[in-house]
Amino acid sequence: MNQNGISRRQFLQWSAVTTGALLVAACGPAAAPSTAPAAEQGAAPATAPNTVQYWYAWGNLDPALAKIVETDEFKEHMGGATLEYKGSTGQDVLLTAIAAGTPPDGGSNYSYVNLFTRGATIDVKDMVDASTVINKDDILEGVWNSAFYKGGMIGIPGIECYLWWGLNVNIETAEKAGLDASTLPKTWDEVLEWHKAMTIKDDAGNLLQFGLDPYDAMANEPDFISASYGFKWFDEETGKFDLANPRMAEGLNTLGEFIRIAGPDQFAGMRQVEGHGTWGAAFNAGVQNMIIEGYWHPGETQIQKPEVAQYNRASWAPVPADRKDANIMATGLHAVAIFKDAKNKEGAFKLGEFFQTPTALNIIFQEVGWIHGVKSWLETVDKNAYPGLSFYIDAGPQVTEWTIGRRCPINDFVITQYVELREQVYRNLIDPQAAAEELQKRAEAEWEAQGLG
Amino acid sequence: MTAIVTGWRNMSKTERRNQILGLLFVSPWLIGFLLFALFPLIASFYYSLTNYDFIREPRFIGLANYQRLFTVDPDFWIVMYNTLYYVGIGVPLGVAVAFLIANLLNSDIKGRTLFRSVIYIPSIVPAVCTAMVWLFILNVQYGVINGFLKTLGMATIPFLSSPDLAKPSLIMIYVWAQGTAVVIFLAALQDVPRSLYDAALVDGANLWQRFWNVTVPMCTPVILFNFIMGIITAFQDFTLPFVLTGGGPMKSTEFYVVNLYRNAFVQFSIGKASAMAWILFLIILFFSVVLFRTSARWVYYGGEK
Amino acid sequence: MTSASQSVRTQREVRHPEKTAFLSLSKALGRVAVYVVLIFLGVTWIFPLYWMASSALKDDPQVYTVPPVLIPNPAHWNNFADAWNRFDFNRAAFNSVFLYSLPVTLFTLISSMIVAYGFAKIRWRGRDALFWVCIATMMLPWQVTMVPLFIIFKNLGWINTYWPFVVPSLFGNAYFIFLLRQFFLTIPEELSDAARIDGASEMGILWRVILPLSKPAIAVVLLFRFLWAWNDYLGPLIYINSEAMQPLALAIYRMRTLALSMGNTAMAYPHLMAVSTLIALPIILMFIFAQRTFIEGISTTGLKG
Repeated sequence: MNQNGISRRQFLQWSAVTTGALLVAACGPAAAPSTAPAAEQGAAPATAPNTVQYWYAWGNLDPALAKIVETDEFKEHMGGATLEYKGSTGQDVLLTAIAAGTPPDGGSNYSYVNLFTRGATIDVKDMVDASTVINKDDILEGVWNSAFYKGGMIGIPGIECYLWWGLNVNIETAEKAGLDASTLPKTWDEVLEWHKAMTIKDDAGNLLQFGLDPYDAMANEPDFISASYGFKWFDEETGKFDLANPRMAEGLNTLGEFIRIAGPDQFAGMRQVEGHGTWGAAFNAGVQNMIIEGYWHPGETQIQKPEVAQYNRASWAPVPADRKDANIMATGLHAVAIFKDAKNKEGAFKLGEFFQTPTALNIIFQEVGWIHGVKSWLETVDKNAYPGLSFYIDAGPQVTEWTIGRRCPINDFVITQYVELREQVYRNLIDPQAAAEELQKRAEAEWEAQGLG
Repeated sequence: MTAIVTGWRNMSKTERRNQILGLLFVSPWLIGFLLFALFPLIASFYYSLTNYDFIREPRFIGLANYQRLFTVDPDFWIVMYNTLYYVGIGVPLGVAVAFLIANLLNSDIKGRTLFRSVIYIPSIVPAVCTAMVWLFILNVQYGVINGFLKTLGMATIPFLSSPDLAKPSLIMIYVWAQGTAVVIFLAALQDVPRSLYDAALVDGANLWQRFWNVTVPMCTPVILFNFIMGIITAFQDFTLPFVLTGGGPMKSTEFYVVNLYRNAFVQFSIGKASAMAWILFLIILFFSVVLFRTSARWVYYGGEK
Repeated sequence: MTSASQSVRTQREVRHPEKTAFLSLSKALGRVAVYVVLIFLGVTWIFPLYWMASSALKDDPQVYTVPPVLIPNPAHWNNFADAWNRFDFNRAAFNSVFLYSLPVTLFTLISSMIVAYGFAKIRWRGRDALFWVCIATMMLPWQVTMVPLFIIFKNLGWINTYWPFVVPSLFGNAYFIFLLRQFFLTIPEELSDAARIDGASEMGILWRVILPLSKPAIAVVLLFRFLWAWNDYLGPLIYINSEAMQPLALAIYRMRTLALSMGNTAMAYPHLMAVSTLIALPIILMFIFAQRTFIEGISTTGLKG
């Protein structure tokens, strides 16, 4: 290389000239991103597609949609448009498509508030108001309210919007462990005793079976720990965080105890092969015997693993002993959100409408075990269809504290940080109060960085 | 380029023809370089000064992204530490193991080709496949290694599920995939003149002395080459940590480019991701300069004398 | 230790017959030791791939048992077909081969050859400076320009197509330009001069004189570019977001997501291993049949797998 006799001075001269020229050339095109999407948008409506693209992150809705698209009611409602649905499509894939300006028309099970506040999805309020199918008064109040953010409507609530929190227990394992399964535990102290009784290790200390992963499933999110301990971690109106609350630290310590007993490494290892966040897979396998899940747990377990589901019972999600009379419950949004760059917004809206109809509701309930809070339809639901379901159906009037879940625009960010910091707590690497304060600090910094403050 | 322009008048007809032809022939690369390397690099710097998020208009915020990364960002220093740990231990270990294996392969043995193939193949198998296999080899509950430990009544090892062991486990897999370095070393070893060993033997040098005083010095340039290329590529490892551990447990395998990807395509923090890209660029640039400064000592030309 | 030292030692033994007995004993012991170590390393290195292939033949009880099953009996050969049909892998394979690997490989070869010719066989001012820049770009991590390139391709409407891979391949690749240029330099200047006197154009010389003599280097380019495309994960992860368009590397990751996330874990592990084996197999076969080309490619330029 050096034999070619190019001196360093020549090289620098050359590179300086080129860099300079390119800097000049680059200044114009750098502004391009803001202008190009507009052109794309203008071109889009010309094609007027007769398909509706619908993506969702769930993995088990597919069989229900396969049946729904075959019904005459659906075909008629959609006016002949065909539905292209794609399940198990994570938020990362969706975001890439949004970034590319090629999102689907409708989407479900994503970070609705986050997408909405960024302007990636549209306000559907006017469309919903004009609809003859969607009846506000027939939808549970909490569900309806969860569809709004700062006056805008995030999406058409549907598919599965019902009660989110309950302690589900495999009573067969409980009885084998010598526990009285006629009354399920209510406080964290009681649940911890059950957890200890149900946790079995082999002689080498390997985990064979355990009681509760208190950070699994619905309990994975800060919404849960804060509701259980009776504080509000995020105030939607003021945009203020209260994560450094002393009760947060208390919760981190108590919940961490469950994992210390079973072994943090064993837990992490199970999660790696049981799938992301497990969501019931470990319960089905008989490895995890208590799980904090929503009303869908009884039905999904029945459909996926009936031999385990027959022993499923549900009760109130745990609270600390000094709050033992608090019946906490959450509800929240699942919706068909419509994307700003969608080619067929009307079609996506019609799909959202169809999810309100008994035809769709029945198919989804039978195929997947899911419920949408449509009052008139709920009266027709057999609460004993799936073991454990009756708790949820009867719970409504006894709830003392309602939470509407996932309202923070940076919910995903906070979850990520919460996952890391709580792990530091149960691995005894940080003091719980320090972890709570750190979480508060990180949330505030991100809020600021995203320009939301 | 200035030299080209000023020299034009002094050129002969053939020289001018060659000048045009030469530029014409390299123009695909030159245009590609401007479009797909230099321009994006500059654009990246521009984005790093904004809060662009793919959806809203970019707003200029000066050096705020850099400042936040260095001060308040919860991930940056963790990610930096993880990456430096991985590179700092993985690369020297990889080079050392590869060099030793190459020396073994270079001895007078039968089946060298077979052994070389066995060592090399893991480095070309798709990383997404090997990541899945390793998951089921190292898993604490169902992995084969722990299966044997359980059989022997021993405690299992949480290779990928303990924050203390996850990085060493990934380093182990990194070393396993260093077949390329082995092949390069083997070629270099075969170029070491026999006369040198001959001379060493006459001087009564034992095996270790011959290795240390002849083999190692003769291979220093190649060791250096593998070392620096190793640093540059290890910084960019994405598929293995992304597929195998997804950054966990407790962010212990969240490496630089994984975090960069997440910031860009999951969090949509294009400004922050671009700032990270530029910091990465400067780090790699530093090592590249080291590589070029020392190039006279390592460049190995197959054909040139 | 090395072949060189072995032969040196043999010569010496002849000169000192009194030491022969002792030396041949220690030599034999040394050889045994080398074989023992090499066989141990070989088994360790191949084990993950063996585990992948053998697990592909298991059913769930054979997977989740302690002690682990080393040789599945009975072997479930139908797993390969079942796993392949569990998902649209035919389409993914088509995408991997015809939309990604083949066009990119072909275009990279053509463009890199033209550029390398301009750098090797035509004399013009500034050539060596530009070549230096070309080499420098080899060090530029793809992740540094990932975000701006994404924005450029997004504005061109190329997301969810293979254009972001195919179009840049028309502009040459620094690694292969380097490799081909080095090779072209070894071809005597007299050959191209003779052709020039006969009135051949530069393109004609490249096509009729250089190309037939460069088959080994061309093979290296073809093999490695194909390998990189086949194994690429991050690129498609960013640019391809529809199931119909995804290549094999993404398809298998998606299969894992589907299999593990919803408690639908029956046969997930054997099927994942079966597909992994099928995806890795073409690469392994390619290596076995073109071993020499691979080894030469790596030895001369340090190309990574």
